[in-house]
Amino acid sequence: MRIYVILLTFLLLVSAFVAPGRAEVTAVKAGRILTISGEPITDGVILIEDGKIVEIGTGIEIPEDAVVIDAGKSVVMPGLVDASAAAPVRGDLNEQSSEITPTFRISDALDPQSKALKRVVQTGVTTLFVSPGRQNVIGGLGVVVKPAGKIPQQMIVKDEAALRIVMDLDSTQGNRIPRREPAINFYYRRPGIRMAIIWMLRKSFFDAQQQADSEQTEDPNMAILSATLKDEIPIHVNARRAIVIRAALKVADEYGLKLILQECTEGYKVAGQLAEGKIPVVLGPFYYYPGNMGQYREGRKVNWNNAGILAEAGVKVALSSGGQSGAIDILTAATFAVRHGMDRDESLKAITITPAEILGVADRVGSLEKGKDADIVVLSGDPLNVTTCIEKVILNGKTVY
Amino acid sequence: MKSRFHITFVLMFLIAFDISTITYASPVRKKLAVEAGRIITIAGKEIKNGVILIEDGTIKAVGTDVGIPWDAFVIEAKDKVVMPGFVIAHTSDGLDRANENMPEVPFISTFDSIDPISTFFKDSLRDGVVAMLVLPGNNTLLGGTGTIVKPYGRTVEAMLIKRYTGLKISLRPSRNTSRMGHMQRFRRYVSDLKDYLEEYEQRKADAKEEKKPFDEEIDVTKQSMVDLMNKKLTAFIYCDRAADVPKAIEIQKTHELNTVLVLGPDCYKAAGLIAKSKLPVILDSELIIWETNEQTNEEEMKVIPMIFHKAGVKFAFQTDTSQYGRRYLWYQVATVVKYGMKREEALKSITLYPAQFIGVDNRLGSIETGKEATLIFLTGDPLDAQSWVDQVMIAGEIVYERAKDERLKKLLEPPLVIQEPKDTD
Amino acid sequence: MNIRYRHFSIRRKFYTAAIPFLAAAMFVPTVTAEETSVIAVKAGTIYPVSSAPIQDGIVLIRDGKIEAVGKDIVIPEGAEVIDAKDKVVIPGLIDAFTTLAEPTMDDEDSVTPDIRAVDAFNFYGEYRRMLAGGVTTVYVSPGQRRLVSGLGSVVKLAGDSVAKRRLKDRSALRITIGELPKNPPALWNPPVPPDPCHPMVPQEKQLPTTRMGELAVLRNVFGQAQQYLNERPRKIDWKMESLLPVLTRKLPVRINCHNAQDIRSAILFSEVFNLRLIIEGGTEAYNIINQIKWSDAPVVVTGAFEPGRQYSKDDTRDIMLGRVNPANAKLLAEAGIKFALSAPSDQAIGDLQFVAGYAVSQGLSPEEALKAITITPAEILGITERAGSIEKGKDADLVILTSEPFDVQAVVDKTLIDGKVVYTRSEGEPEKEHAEKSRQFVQAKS
Repeated sequence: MRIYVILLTFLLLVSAFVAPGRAEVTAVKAGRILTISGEPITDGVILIEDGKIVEIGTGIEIPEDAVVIDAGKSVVMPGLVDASAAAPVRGDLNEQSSEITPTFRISDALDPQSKALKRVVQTGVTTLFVSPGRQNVIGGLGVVVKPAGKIPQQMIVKDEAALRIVMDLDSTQGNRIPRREPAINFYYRRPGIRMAIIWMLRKSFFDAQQQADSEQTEDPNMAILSATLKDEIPIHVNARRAIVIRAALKVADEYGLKLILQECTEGYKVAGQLAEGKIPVVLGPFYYYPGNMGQYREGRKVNWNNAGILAEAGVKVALSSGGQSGAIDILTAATFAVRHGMDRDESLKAITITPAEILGVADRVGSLEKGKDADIVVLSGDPLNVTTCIEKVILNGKTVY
Repeated sequence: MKSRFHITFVLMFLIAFDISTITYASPVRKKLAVEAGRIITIAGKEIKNGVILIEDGTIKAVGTDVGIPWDAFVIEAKDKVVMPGFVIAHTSDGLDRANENMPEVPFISTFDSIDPISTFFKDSLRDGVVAMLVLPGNNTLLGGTGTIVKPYGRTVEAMLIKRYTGLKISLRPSRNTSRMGHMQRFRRYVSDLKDYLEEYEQRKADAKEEKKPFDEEIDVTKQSMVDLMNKKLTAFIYCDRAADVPKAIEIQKTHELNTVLVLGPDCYKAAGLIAKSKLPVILDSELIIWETNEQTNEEEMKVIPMIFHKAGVKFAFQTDTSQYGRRYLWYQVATVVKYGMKREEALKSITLYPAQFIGVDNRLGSIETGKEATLIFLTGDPLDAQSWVDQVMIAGEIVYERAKDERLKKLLEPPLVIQEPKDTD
Repeated sequence: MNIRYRHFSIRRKFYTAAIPFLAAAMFVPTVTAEETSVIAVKAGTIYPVSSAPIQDGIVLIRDGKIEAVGKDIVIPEGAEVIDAKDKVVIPGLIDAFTTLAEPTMDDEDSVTPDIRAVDAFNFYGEYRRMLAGGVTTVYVSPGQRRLVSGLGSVVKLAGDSVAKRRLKDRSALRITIGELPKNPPALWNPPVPPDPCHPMVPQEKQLPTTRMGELAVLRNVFGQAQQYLNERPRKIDWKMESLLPVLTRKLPVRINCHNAQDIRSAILFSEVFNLRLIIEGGTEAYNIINQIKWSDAPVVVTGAFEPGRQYSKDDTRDIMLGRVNPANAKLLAEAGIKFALSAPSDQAIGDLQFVAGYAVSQGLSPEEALKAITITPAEILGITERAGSIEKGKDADLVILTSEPFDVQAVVDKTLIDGKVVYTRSEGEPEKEHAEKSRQFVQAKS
């Protein structure tokens, strides 16, 4: 009798230790699962443990103590990835003291309480790439974050994810030297014309190369640039007009850099070159007519089917919100891309797995596969339908919306 | 000799006759029949595989068992969805500038400012809009009178549907005054107008008494406001924010005007008040706004048309040509259906209701016998983002065909040369 | 026929006929109970302001109006009871001067007596911060930087309908004397549209740019109004029409003046035209107490105290809005001049109690201070039938405090307007909750 008592207490003690250690399992049942990485699954189940997907498919046994989220006939897809999002940061994004600031890290300015984050989750975006402002030629290092956590460290998926370079005329904003004023104010040292922007870029890379060769004391700015030269840190270049894109390709050629192009409003004109160079493109907000294309009216010709043409030419295309908060929702962007001629599956990839690959976080997000983070969006119908609403958003296994 | 002369004469006559018939061969056919896969009538239930009979540009019959006369030209649209053309009840696009710089200019008319070549009209036709009321902008107190046009025609006269419709009043303060000053200026103007009319009537009465002829006309700069007071024109009152709504209602009640409220996005807060007033409403193009809840600090999304729908207010949608999805009327409807409104009711807000608000619902707004044959042929469901407007028919005449839309082709198809010559170093 | 049956049949008919009446009778009492809503507030201390404080009293509210205040009041059945047994009830506070209607923009014209502040007030705005301070009614002023900017209005910060919240569209005419109305913009009123007979005209400069200009314009305008009153021409001039009730003393005039000299000019000016004067601002009123007493004008004291603001004791410079004396209110009270205390800025309206409390610390008695933010502003604004004290017949605008008014620790627990609770202190005291959460968080990380 006593033995049984001892055994029982022993078992209880053991279970007391074991039980809290055992992670909670969540199961999501849905009518249609779009994995993006493979064929859609009908009436499938996703098992989530510890914020990661452990099983996905049909006919999976759900453990008894699992929390079941029954999405009924809804459609489920991976959390969306926005490769150029509005920054959830406090304060201004643009550093005015110098136009080349490669060491500036946007991760130092993240604000987990930002309104932009709360709104973005409700549009289904679970991973964002945030980068410094556009007013510097070399703006600094961007970071891939998730809208989760109470402190910035909890948000970061990949720090120092990419260097942002802006080759458009944004950095020349306000640089016209007023008449009758001496040009000694340091603001006026900023580039004034496109030639100057490209010269600054070339100089920076040239210096970086020199330094790497001559092994001088490490200048942190140069350190970052050498890292990019060695392909350790990818480069995102903002370029709207075709001539700027070509200029970017030239500079890349000269220094052997691997580029990722952002915005590319006139990308359709150079689709062939981009495909040949295997350069991925993250498209920015869509403009119907050139008059709306930013402050500088860059670009006279617009093609509504930019995404479709690039995709058909074989370029890796991602759709993003272009850093404007609130206005553009990337699911709508994908819907309109299909309307104007992009392939359906391509457009869904363009807001999930392709940006994840471009950002280098495809091991964690972008599709519903075993081992990846449990970032799931539950929709009331076909994602590319304007009347579909987002019912639930699951981030790292937790329902956040 | 004589016969040759006769033959040439007859030949010449025949040729002339043929040429004349060719040039006068009008594309508007007298009798038409449209065989459509789906007809969304708006006025009643949807019809599958129906026929619309059109005679002289007017709908003669709609239904499934409509007999097609032998001499009718049949338009086959079995794979298309046919619905009434969209109507925009308030827009300030298509003008060179929407606002004059002085606040009180009720005597100007958008008829004089409409630019037929404007891309706004071409885009509208492509997107299925068949009628729009063009009014002055929101920055003038008494902006001027509006014009209803169709986005098709080389001259304003050709585009004209109805002139001198609607007078725009804006409660957004002008640059030189405060909100309260702005309201007071309106009251002063109306008071001066009433004084002027009294004196005018007095002079008229005096002349009658003295048996003298009276040929003085009302000052042309005041005529439109007089017509407004006599209910010959409808007031379109723009409310910038919710606090302007009670003032608009005060204006309507005091002077007993026919009124349509044009709202800014903030006005959803006054939905209850608007519902009580039973005034028709034209919503701003921004349908979804985010607000921070003061107490919980959470971001809340407000769907403005749903707020009005629940309050029982009849509304029409507007578009914003500078924005992504909001430039399309069907997108506005799809947005509100997404958040719970019923399709049939929501579709009325871009067809029947705007037509009623601007007074053209005897001709447009639904597919019914007796109305004008102004229809759009869609490649799919109107709320599907992949549907395009394939053809537009105005009064029995096909005025737009997507297959022949050169501009659209340029916008969608890749440029001819993709392969760039290699840059030589 | 059996007689018994016949009787029975008649009785049955009677009973069946009576059923609907009985059913209706059952519903009647509930219907009447729903039509009138009765609320009873049980309070530890009540300060009605118009009478002595009441301990352990009850305020009975019916349909948004106060029905009774006192100790032994019978609470009818079905009344909603608000328990404030350990709390203090005071009337809803009234701020006699705010610029909530239009803080920044003014009409270009220097003299616009017909503009009404109520036309710019945002009835749909968020006034939670002010309700949390216990302020229920405010006077909204027309423009600040013009000589005669218009008519001020009195509105409630919350309520069932816009109509109910407009207590008085025309409360007083605002005139400003001093630095503020100087340099108005030049007017440009070309004929619209111009034609050869009426060509374009250049801009017209406007007066005033000096104090003498201000007073000259005022005299001129009022002189014209006097003439208009005597002649009553047929053509209505809105500006003149708005000045008539002021000339006939039906409407008071509020002159915004801060320097002693400006206050003196204001008093003399209103004497000349026999106007009902209210002194608005009165920062240097303590300097000319006698003259104010002689004029019988009440004073709305603004800018009495602004937390964090430094006061310069420098006598050598001219200070635009007058030299502040924190004991201003006390001196006015001692002289027997009627005055209301007002928050120094719109952002500080929620701190009205604090402003009055500060005056108490400078020597004003608490009773006087409470009057100065309740019944006295109601008298000055002309809304005593509806607000200012807890009396039978007035609107049920009440503030429930956690302790005595002017106690630094007193927090508003509930604010009622027209009997409805429009503000409740959040459950669980969120300030403490947040502080606790932060503490835990910091501890967890370290």
